Amino acid sequence: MIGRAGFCFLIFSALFPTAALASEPCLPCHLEKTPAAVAQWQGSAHARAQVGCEKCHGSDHEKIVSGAARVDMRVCAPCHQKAFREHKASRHGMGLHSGWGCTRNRPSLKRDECRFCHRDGDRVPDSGVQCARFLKQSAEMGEIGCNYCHSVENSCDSCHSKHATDLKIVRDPNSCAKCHMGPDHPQWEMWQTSLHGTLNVSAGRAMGPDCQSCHMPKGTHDVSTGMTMNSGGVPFSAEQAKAGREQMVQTCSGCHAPAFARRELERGDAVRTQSLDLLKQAESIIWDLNDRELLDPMPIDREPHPLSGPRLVTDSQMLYEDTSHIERLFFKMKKYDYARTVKGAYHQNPAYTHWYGNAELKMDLVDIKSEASRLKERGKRGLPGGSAEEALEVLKKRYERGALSPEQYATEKARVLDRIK
Amino acid sequence: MTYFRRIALFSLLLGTLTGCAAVSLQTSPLPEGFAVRNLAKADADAPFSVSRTGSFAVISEKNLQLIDASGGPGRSIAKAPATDLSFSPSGERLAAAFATPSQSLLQLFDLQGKIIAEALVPGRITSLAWRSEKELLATALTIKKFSFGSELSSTLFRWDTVAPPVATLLNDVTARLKVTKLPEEILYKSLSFAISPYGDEIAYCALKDPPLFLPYLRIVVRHLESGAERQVAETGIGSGGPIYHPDGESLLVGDRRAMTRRFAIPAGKEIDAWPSAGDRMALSPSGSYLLMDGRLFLGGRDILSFPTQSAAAFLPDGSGIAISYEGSLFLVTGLNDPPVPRLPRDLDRTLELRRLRALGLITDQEFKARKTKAPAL
Repeated sequence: MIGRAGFCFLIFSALFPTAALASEPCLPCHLEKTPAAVAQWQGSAHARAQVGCEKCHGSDHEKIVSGAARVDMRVCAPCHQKAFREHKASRHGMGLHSGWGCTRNRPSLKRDECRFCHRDGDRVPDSGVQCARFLKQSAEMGEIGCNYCHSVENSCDSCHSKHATDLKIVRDPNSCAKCHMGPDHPQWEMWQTSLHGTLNVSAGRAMGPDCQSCHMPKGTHDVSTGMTMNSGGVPFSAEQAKAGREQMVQTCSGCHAPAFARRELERGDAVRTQSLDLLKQAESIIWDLNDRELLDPMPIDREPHPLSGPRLVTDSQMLYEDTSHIERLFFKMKKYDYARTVKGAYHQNPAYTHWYGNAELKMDLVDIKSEASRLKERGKRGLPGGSAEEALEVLKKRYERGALSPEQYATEKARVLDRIK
Repeated sequence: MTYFRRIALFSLLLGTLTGCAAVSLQTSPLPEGFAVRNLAKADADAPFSVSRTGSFAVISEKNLQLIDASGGPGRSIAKAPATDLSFSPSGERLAAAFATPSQSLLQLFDLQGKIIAEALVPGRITSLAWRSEKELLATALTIKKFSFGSELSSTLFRWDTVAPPVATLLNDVTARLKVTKLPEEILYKSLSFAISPYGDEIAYCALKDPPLFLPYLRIVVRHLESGAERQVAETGIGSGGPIYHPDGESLLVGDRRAMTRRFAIPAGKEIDAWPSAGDRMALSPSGSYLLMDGRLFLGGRDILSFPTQSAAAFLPDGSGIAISYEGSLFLVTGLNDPPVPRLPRDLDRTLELRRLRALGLITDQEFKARKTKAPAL
C-alpha cells in the first residue's frame, strides 16, 4: 500500500522522469513534509532543467536542518554568472551588507548569530563591514529587523523567493517594496504616489515605469545603474557621478527627450545640495556642542559606540539610541527627512520632496538650534566671556576635526589671546 | 728634642696613622679673587643645603647639623642622616627628609633647630624643593620587589606645611630584575626633580623599562596646577639632573654616556652640549657659572677644576660655591655672578601663557610672541 505522497511521486515521475530522478531521495518525504516547497520547485525552471534539491541544498540532511547549509549566492553563482557579476557590482551586492557586523563581543551573543556572516567552520566572515546600529540589537531583532533586508547581498532569494523561479515575482515592484519602504527610504511609497506610479496602475508599465524600468534597465542585476550618490545620500564627485548620470539620462530617454530628463535630474541635484547644506548646518551645531562638552550626556558618559567607543559619531554609523536628545533629532533629520527630500525629488514626488521631506528637514533644524541654545545657556562653556582656556580648548577641538583651517585656527587663537591682560 | 717638639711629632704621627689629617680641596690654580675655606665636616655623598641667610645644613657623622657661614662649631639638630635637605626661599626654614623602613619623615626646622612641622609620607623621599615659602614639594619612590622584578612607584607630595601632604602619582613602572639589581642609591637618584624658577612646573625623571630595549629615564615637564605633562628628553639611568636654567625655558640633563645637554622646553630641542657625564651638576643663580663633574665653567670656558667627585651648590647670591668632598664642606668664594634674572612685571600673564602652552593650547611660537616684553620688577 503506498501513501498519498508516494502516489503523487509516481505520477510526477511519470510526467517528468528526469526531474524526478534529480531529486529522487528527497521527494518522497518532502511531498509530505513540505508539499508547498515541492510544488513551487516542481513548477520552476529549475525542475525543468533537472536541477534537483541536492544541487542547491547538498546532501547533509543534518546540516540543512540546522540551518548551516545556506543556499546563498555562491550556490547560485556557478550557473547564473552574469546575474551574479552584475549583482556583486551593484549596491545590492556591495553596500548593503552594512546591516551586519561581528557580535562576538556582545554579552548577549547567541551562537547561531555567527551564521549571519560565517559559513560553517569558516573563520573569515562573508563581509568585513560592520554596522553600529546592528550591533546594538538583540539577535532576534538583528535577524528580522536587519538581516531580512540586508541579506540581499548574498541571497538571491531575497528577491526571487526560495523555490519558485517565476520572473513575474521579481518584475513586480512589490518585490522591492518589502525593503524599500518605511521612514528612512520610502522609495516604494513615493513611486506609488508619483506620476510614474499612478500611471503604472492606470495605464500599465508602458506608460508608467516601475522600479525595474529605471533601476534594472534591460534586466540588469546592477541596481546601482544611474546613481549619483551613495546609499547614505552623500553625492559622488563630479567625475564619479558622470557615468551614472549618463546611464540614467539614457534610461529616461526611452520616454523623454534627453534635455528634459537631464533638466529634471539636475533639479533633483539642486534639491540635494540645498538639503545637504541644512544637514551640514545641523551637524556643525552638534560638533560645536561636543567641542564645548555640552551634549547631554556627552559620549564619554554613555554606553560606548559599538565601533567608535566613547566618541561622537554623526556619520553613517550614527545611532538612534544611547545618544543625546539633540543627536536623536539629527538622526531623524539625516536618516529620515534628508533621505525623503532627496529621494522624493529624484522620484518626482512633490509631497515627499516638500512636506514629508523638506518641511521636516527645516523644522528639524529649528529644533536642533533651539536645543543647542538651551544647552549653551545651561553650560556656558567656551562662550564669549568664558575663560581663555575653555575657548582655546574648543578651538583646538574644532581644528583637530578639520572644522578650522590652520590659518583660521591661528586667527581665532590670536583673538582669544588678545583677551589675556 | 725638646718635650714640646716630641709632643708635636707624636701628634702628627698619630694623626697620619689614624686618618685624622685635615682634608684639603685640590684644585687647579685659583682664578684671581677666588679663595677656598674648609667650613665643616660633612659626610661624603650625603646631602647638604645652603641658605639665603648664610647658614648651611650638613650631615656630619650621621647627624643633621646647622652651620653658620662665619665658621664655628655646628649645632646638631637631629640625630639621623637625612635623604635630602632644602632651605626655604627666605632661608628661615629648613626641610629635611628622613628614611624609615617603609616611609619617610618630613620635618621642618627653624634656624634654632626647633621642629616646627612634620609629616609622614609613604616611600623614600628622594628630592625636596620649595615652591614658595609656604609650599614644599617632595618626590618619593616606593619599591615593591617580586621574583620577576620590582614595581617602582614615584609620587609627588605637595605640602603646605600645615595639612597632610597631597600625593600625585608621577610614574608607576614594573622593572625587570636587571634594573632592580642596580644599587638602590642609583634608583633613588633616578627620581630627582627640579622646580622651574616660575614655580609653576617641575621637571622629573620617569623610569621606563621596555621589553627588548635598554631601560632609560624620560625627562618629563609637568605643569603643577593642570597636571599637563610633556616629555622633553631621554637619558640613561643614574644620570644627573634635571636642572632648570634660570630662564625657566630650558633644562640641563646629564647623561652617563658622557654628554650633558641643555634642552629647550617644551620642544626638547637640544640647544647646548658639554662633553661630560653631568653626574654632579650645579648652576649659579644667574646661570653664568656651571659646575659639572668637578669643572667650573664660566660662559662656556673651563676656569677651575675640582675633584670630579665634588658635590656642589651655589650660594643663593652667587658669590660662592659650597663643595662637599671627602667628608668636608668647603666654601669657594670670589665668584662674580651677575644679578639673578627677575621675573617679569606682569607675572600673572606670563604664568597664564605658560599654562596654556603646557596644555598644548598654544604653540611655543605663540607663547614667545606674546610673553611680556615689559621690564622686570
